[in-house]
Amino acid sequence: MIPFDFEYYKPTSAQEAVSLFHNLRSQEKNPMYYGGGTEIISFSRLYQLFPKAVIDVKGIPECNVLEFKNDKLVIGAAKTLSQVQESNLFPLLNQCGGRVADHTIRDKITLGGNICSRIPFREAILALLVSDCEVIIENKNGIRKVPLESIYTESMLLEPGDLLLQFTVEKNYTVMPFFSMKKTADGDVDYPQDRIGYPLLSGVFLNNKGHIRAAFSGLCPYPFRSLKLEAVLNDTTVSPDEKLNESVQCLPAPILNDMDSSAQYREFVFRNTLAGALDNFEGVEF
Amino acid sequence: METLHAIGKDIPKKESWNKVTGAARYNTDFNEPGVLHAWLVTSLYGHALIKSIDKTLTLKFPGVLAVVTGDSMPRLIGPILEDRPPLAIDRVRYFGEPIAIVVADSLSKAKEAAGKVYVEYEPLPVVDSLKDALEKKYILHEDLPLYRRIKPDEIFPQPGTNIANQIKIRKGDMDRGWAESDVIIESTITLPQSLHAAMEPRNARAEIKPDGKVIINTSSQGPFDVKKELSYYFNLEESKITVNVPLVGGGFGGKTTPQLEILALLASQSVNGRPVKLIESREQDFTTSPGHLGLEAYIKLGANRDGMLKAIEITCQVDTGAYTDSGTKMTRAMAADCTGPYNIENVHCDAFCIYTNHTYVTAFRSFGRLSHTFAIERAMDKLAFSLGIDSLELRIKNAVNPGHFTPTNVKLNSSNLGNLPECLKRLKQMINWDEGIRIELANGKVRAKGLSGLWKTSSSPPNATGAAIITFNRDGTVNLNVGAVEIGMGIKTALAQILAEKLQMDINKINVVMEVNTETSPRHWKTVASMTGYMVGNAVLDAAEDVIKQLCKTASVVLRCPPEVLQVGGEKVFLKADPTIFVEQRAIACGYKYPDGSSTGGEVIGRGNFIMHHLLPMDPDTGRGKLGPAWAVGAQAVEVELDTKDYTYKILKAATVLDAGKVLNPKNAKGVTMGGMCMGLGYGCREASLFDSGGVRMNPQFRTYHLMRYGENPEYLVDFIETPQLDSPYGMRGIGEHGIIGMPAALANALSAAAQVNLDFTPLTPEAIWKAKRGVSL
Amino acid sequence: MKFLDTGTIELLVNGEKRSALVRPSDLLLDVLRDQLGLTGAKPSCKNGDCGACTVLVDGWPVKSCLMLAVEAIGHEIITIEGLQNAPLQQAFVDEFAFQCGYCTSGFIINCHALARIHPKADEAVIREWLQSNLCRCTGYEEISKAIHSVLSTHKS
Ligand SMILES: Cc1cc2nc3c(=O)[nH]c(=O)nc-3n(C[C@H](O)[C@H](O)[C@H](O)COP(=O)(O)OP(=O)(O)OC[C@H]3O[C@@H](n4cnc5c(N)ncnc54)[C@H](O)[C@@H]3O)c2cc1C
Ligand code: FES
Ligand code: FES
Repeated sequence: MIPFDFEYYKPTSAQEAVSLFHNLRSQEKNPMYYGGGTEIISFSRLYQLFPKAVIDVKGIPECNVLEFKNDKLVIGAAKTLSQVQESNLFPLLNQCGGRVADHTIRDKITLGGNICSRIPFREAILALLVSDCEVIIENKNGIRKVPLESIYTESMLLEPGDLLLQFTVEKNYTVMPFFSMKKTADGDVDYPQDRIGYPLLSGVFLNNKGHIRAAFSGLCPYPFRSLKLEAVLNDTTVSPDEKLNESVQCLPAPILNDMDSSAQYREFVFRNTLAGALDNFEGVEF
Repeated sequence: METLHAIGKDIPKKESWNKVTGAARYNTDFNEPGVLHAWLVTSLYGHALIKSIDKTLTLKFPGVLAVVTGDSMPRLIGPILEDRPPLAIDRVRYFGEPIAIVVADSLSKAKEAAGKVYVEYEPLPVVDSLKDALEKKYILHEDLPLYRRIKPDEIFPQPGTNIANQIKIRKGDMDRGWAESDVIIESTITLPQSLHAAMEPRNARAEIKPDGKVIINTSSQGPFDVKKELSYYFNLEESKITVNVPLVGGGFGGKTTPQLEILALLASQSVNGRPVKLIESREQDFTTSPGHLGLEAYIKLGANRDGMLKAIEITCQVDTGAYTDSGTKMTRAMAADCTGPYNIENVHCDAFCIYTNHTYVTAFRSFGRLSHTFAIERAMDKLAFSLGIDSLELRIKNAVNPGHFTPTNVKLNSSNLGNLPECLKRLKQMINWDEGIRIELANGKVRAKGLSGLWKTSSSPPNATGAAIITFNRDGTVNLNVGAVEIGMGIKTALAQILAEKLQMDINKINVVMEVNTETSPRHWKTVASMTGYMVGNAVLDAAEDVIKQLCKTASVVLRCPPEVLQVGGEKVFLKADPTIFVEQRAIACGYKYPDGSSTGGEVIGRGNFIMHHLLPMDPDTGRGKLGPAWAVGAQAVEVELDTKDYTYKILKAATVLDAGKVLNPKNAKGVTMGGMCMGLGYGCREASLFDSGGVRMNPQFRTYHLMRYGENPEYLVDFIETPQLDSPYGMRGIGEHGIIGMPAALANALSAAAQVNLDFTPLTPEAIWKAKRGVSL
Repeated sequence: MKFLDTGTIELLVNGEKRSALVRPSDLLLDVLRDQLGLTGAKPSCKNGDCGACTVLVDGWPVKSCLMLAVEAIGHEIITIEGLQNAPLQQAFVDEFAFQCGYCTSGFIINCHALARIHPKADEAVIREWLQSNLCRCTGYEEISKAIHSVLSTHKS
């Protein structure tokens, strides 16, 4: 039960959505794009969000694409995590997106919604952070295409009215060897998912022709990919133990300390995970 | 005449098809145009003064009819000690405590308007732990000595402290006990508060008819208690109150003492008696309604070189939260069974029920034994280790047996006590104990086992009752009406089985009234304590005897013979000596009509009842007394696989052997036991109510308060042995709660063995084990 | 499509066209229960965590507490009341796969979808799907037996 009213719009084009947004905004209706709605509904129920209007993006054709186009994987922002998972076009994204929430909810959570989520884990973004993803955004000035890292630091740096349309990833990233993991306070999460919960640590490692890329959620207050950390991981001159110590030094923010886990334990899990991942890539042919 | 057996059969629950089609109705499934809705305004602080409550904006809100606050019922309530205001007055003592009720013509308006009640607080120091409470960081109930004691023989508050109750057990001679002990171990355990988390959130609906009659519809395990308490608190004749309870979506003790019923009635009063529904959100169910107690316990346990237990000293500190409710009673119940299922002649136990600024607590599956067993069974493992004796052998050696005396000095015999040694022996085979309790595997993994004994008696009032009414339909089929609530344990079906066996008839021809209506159902104390089969089952047997007598009487006229030569079975009344001479049950159950049209007999209506007997309150100085009629016993084990690199683990197997006396419905008994085991494992591995230092609950949702999920459950091994309890229907023993009792202890014992460190707490998260391993205190 | 205020919508539920008067912010769960009298789907957390409110939308399980009623327009909704003598209902009865029954509608609906979509689901897939639902009464073993019995029927 959402204890207040809002207006619901389901436009059929991106331009319509954007102009609706600005219209409603000028009427002080605090409009929100509505993907799966899982966060908008659950936060509204608890008075943590108060949109007076929502704009459902699921009727926008561009947001519903999921296919390879000219050696690029194009994923519409309104595609649900389940649809991405079932398509199996990008196994790394399957895995990290496929460990968010639970199976039933994943059929409602959209990729765009997950990445813009207020809940700080946004695990689906990890796969995109390591694969030079580009984001296609529509706003009142038209369409733009930008590298994900240029508009993501601790969260998505979107202007009011910016509508995520699509994410694109070069095909070669979708076939690279990878390793991914998630742990919750209760223990390991295998894939397909078998432990529901927010991550203590959710991580992806992509092996780009011998160069490891990595991104993490749950460790710091926001998901991140750190080039500094990757430099350490890929440095062949340091011993595995030193790598772990140095890695901990180059995290972008203090380790999260919350009711699920202390920072010390998160660090312990992080070190274990790195060690496992390094082992994992040992001897892989490129 | 062949005997029909309904006992010992896997009979699906009577209401099965309604439950798998969505047709089964729970209390919030009844739509009713015009009903008003209530929403609670609850405390945002763990401890604070309420400086003011401003309802102006709320009362102006369209659709709002009333805002009810504490002044509408300026009295304290409680089943044992009256220490709790139904709605906070001037002060809140826990996060989530109800402060006001907003009544509106729709749920969304009630909820939105509730957000506009402005409560001004002045925070007070928060008693966030038992330590804080005992150090008197703040006295939470200054008026403790003035509070009315409803059960003066079981509540002994200590004014000027946060101790609401102290129960003492003094048995034997402690000096002798310690002198005879060659080995003495000490052990301290810590268990947090947790939650019932029934899937149906707590809710109630109230209405006052123009003739003054109060109608309550509620999801409760104790409809007759609701009636009794409302009558008392609102000064109403019991005949003016009707309580209706349909199917209940899980209870686990959490739906035992009235709470929302009182609030719903206050809400209805505020709107001239119009019907009002009050349904808690999940967050409110988790923070406003009572939870499960926390416990810190210290045990000193002594044994001679052969492993025979000689003395035990126990201190239990129960975290009852802001108010006592059933916390004091559970404290007493723990003390009464304080040795666990082991024979110890010298016992010294002090059990304290202590106020904190946590959520108040109420009955929880096993009524405290879950927690207390953890303390005992960790101590037993430590003792076994010190003595170098196999921990299972140690338990067999010391198991309570007929001829022994309980801590409260009740003499045990083979009827009032199950057979624990047999349970342990069966368990030993089931879990392949002899292969060793700790086995190292490849990859840094370790497989380990741990076990736990358990026992439990009930703690009903000495005059608790059960009753049954049997009526007949014209076709000879039967209606059974009892006051027991169907909360999922299959009790209605079990009672039908008892009746079917007794009347020797097809269980499908017995209709059980599913709902309870206090106006028409015969009284039953409440559906708790695994006692319903015993109490109401005995009443059903009594009613069946009554029916048989009446049927035989009419049949004796028809068949022209004395009633004594007749027998009832197969829906007939027949000559014992010659079953071919009979009259059909349907021909006589509603009066017999002779061929010439004249009649005799009349409606057969069976009435049966049962009242507890020979129960005695506990002596305040020694604990001598008798709380329940019998002790059900059992043994449990858990096998884990621990990854010693990161302390994650899998629960591979969980095993339970209970002495069920007689298993009425094997598949159901196994199901209920597995359910208890799963809940116990959940508590052992992850469940805890988390409070920040301000007493604010941090995990009031399933998102953050994790239950076991599908596939996380282990492989279950469940078996029963049958030592009949002579005064119970067909010898059965109540085992509905018992699956939970030893699980956290067995899990902790297994993990302690696996990780080779003492794990004396729950929840046993990988992080907690890691910390224990590194010697970091939690 | 837009809904600015309380208004009547048409939903296709259990093969029937049903109309309901809804606010745009009304949840599908509340509309099914309060307006259409379909109380089989249960509210328990209203936060997407428990699955008691699960219904099928175009054959897929959805937690109806996290879906707006207006979002369901044009989609085919099946609630537990729409299953008649489905093999899973029989299996749940036979295996005693419930106690209080409060979680049962959601579990059966989810199992039903699983059996339709992945008739040969392996253990990992079953786990992944059924972890979306909570049951506080059973130990899950009975539910596991129920789903397995139906899946093996599909195989044979
Ligand atoms: C039961 C449950 C468990 C969960 N567990 C996890 C977990 O383990 N890990 C985790 O990472 N998260 C978890 N979450 C949170 C979940 O990630 C969010 O609820 C979800 O990602 C939101 O996705 P949505 O499509 O429903 O978004 P919505 O609720 O529709 O929107 C979320 C935000 O994204 C914005 N948005 C949506 N689409 C667009 C677009 N196309 N362009 C611009 N902005 C847009 C919205 O305006 C809004 O601000 C869980 C949620 C639930 C309900
Ligand atoms: S009520 Fe919808 S998931 Fe719990
Ligand atoms: S049967 Fe009660 S919650 Fe599942």
